[in-house]
Amino acid sequence: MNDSARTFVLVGLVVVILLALHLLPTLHIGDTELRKVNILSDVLPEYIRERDAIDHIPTISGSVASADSICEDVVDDGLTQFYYQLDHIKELGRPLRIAYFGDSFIEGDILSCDLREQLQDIYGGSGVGWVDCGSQVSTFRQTVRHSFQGIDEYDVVKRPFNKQVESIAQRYFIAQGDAGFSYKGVTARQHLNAWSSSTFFFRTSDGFTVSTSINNDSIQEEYVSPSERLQTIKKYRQGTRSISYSLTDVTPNTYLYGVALESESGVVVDNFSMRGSSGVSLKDMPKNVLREFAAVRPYDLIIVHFGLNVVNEKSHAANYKAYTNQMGKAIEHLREAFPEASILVVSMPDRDQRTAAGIRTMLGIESLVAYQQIMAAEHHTAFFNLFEAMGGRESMKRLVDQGLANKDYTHLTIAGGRRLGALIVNYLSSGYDRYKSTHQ
Amino acid sequence: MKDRIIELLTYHPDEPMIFSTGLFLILFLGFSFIYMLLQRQLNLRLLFVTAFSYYFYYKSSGFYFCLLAVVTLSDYLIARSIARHRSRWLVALSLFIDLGLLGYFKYTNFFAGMWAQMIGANFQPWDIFLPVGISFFTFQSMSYVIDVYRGDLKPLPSLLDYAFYVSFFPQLVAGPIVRARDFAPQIRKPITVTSEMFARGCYFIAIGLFKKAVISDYISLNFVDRIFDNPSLYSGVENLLGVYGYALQIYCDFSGYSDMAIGIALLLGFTFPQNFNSPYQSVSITDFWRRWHISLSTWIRDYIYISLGGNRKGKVRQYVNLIITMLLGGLWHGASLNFIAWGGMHGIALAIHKWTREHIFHHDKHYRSSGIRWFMAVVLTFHFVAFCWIFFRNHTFVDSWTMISQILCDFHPELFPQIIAGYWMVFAMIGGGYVLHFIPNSWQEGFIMALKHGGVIVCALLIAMVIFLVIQVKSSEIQPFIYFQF
Repeated sequence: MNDSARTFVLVGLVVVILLALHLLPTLHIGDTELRKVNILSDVLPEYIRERDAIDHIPTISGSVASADSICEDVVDDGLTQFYYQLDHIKELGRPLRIAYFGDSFIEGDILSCDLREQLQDIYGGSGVGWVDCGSQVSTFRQTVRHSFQGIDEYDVVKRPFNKQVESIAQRYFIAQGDAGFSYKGVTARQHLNAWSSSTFFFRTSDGFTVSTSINNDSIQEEYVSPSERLQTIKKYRQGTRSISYSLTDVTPNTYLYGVALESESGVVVDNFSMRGSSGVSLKDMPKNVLREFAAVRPYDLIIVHFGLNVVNEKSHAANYKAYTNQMGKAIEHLREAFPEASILVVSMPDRDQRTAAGIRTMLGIESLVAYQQIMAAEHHTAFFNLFEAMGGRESMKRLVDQGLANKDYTHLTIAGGRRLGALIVNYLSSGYDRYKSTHQ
Repeated sequence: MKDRIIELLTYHPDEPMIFSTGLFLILFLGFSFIYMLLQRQLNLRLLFVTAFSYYFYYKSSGFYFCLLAVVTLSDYLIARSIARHRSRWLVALSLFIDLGLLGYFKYTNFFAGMWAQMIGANFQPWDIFLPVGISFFTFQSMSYVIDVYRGDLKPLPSLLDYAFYVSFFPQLVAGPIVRARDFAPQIRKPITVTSEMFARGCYFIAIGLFKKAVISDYISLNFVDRIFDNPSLYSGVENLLGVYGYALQIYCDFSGYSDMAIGIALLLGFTFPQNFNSPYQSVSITDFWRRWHISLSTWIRDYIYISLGGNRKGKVRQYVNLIITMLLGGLWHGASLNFIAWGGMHGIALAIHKWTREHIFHHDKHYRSSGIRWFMAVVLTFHFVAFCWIFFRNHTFVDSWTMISQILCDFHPELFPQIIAGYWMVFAMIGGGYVLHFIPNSWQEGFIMALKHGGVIVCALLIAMVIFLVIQVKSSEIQPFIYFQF
């Protein structure tokens, strides 16, 4: 064979073999489905984009949608109570509080810290809000310097877990003897360097001794008497920049929760992230636990932001419908405990997956987002379509390309949190502007 | 359909032409057909390959292919003049043009930013596009002019030959940096692809594709990148495994692409020199630079180190020259301080190795270690190289330092079994990659011989099989993040 002919024959054979492989039925090795070979996918990308046929996106009926926030010209009544409180923030006699429940998407205070910073810029307030006694991501979290020792974490997504004694963050910590935890303000974000009120939350049926030190000053020691109820120890000092707790004589019947570092006025945002959670466990939180927390820590806005742990490529629309039914119950459950609070459902963000045609939005996401929107409308809560707001399909890829999200095409970086946090702040601000224009 | 094909063939900044794409395969099919028809039409063939190369470059960098033409034309004319009157000024003019272009496109923002920082001014980086492969073709072209000036090479007989050499698409965008003295004699020779060249070419394409698009791609996306993106989120043991993973990833990435270039050139009848020679088998840092990116290390040796005086101006000057050479070598990899630091560390290590070899161990150039000494030397060299990669990969020193302190102060060895179990696929690939790295050369030669006997069908099956694997990896599910820290 002539020298360069052999090269041509080689390339031709490779192309023919690959085209032939394309004609093979889909193969499986064990549980893994082998991907289809399609060397023409560069030329004909729409050829393999059959997603619209599989991805069932429910339509939202006009009557349902009118109760919801998607119509720009309708004032979002889901947040009216929150806007009212915002309007009277100086007369509340306490800070205006926002609880942000979410999954690993907001872990490490990503995104929620930007919501906090920007709202505190406008409405005042300081402090990072709720911080658990221990944390798996304390070194990663940049909004508080947190260290702890001698405690074991129990949380709702792992067993064993006794939900009767959980905190609002769906966690509790048990000391292995003597234990301690400390918090120090940071300058990474505005308003987090100093605060005035530090409240420690716990439940103990045996009692223990706690020593507290603010700004490394003298240590105050006090004995906590046993009680079956939620207890708090509140320390007030203007210009608190660090606080440490040291516990002695603690038995396993003591459940440690967290500390709220906040101001007496302005805005406080609590980050309640739960890695691996779909959010459904919120509906199983005991009513008395929620009521106890509501009594000492009332919220004006509860943000519910889940979905990453729900979508998977093999799920069907029916699963999403069943899931949002459950989430609807969780929302009613929260509403019952916090009747004064407005509730905002934030849709799941874009999440991408690799396909033969490149990085694409995972199947099922648009379907789940639509079901979340229907759920929000049915339960008369506000709804923020983060998926659309961040740019819709493949917007996560664009964030990854700009260094704003991680290469798992799922989680944001700190800078990405700032970008998306601004979207939520804008949404709330424009809603508030509309509220003011209609209530003046 | 027609619009889509036109769209596909036009330049898109985020879709450069690389060998591991379906588009390249289809285009190369057409290319090899015409190449076959032009087998005996020398000038037409050179013209066709040059045009295809320019198109290849256009597809990666758009209208910046003009730069390629500017460098080609100016250096061709300058080298011709140098052949007639040997003048330093002409070399200076060539360097001014080549380094000027390289400096403007690659380093303007870096130096302007540094300057602004020194005088305390505010600096907004200018929007300067970095044309793909500019570091490679300017270096290639400069070496030609300098070789002609030094009398090591006769100028090429025609502009077409020179344009063919500078733009030859297999090595155009990512090397190897092929010297004119190696390449020029092959340009006008009749095309010869012996069975051995053919088998070797197929082997290099397959292994290069496997290294780049299977190993490097999979481990970077599913493990290495996430560690480097957020080192503080992971324990020391994960950070250390991330560094080991990166050492393999960068080797597979660089050498895989070079291998494909060498393989494609072989199928077209051109032989490139070897560019990577199992660098992690090195017994010293000096040995490492004889095995790592050989076309670059010999380039900087011949044109920077030697030009600075090499070892001809005394011992101290030699060490200084080594360090300066490596600092510039570092800067060549990218316009940022971390690359300079990386080059500097290698330069200092080379100088220290040279000194200890002569003054403490008294080893001559022919010394070969063996047994446990060999093993220790390989392990030590690998760890030093891997340590330097931390600075190469992290853009800021803060990130590098975070990584090192996680490894030193927050190691958590007890997590090791969980991590291996959680990412078993990634570590199987990393392990496999290192094993592949240490297989003896004779095995590789044996495999090539087997391919030679198998002929074109076996070669086609091998390449198709690797492409099939690449497609599986390219569209495989992304491993979810796993945190083991507590």
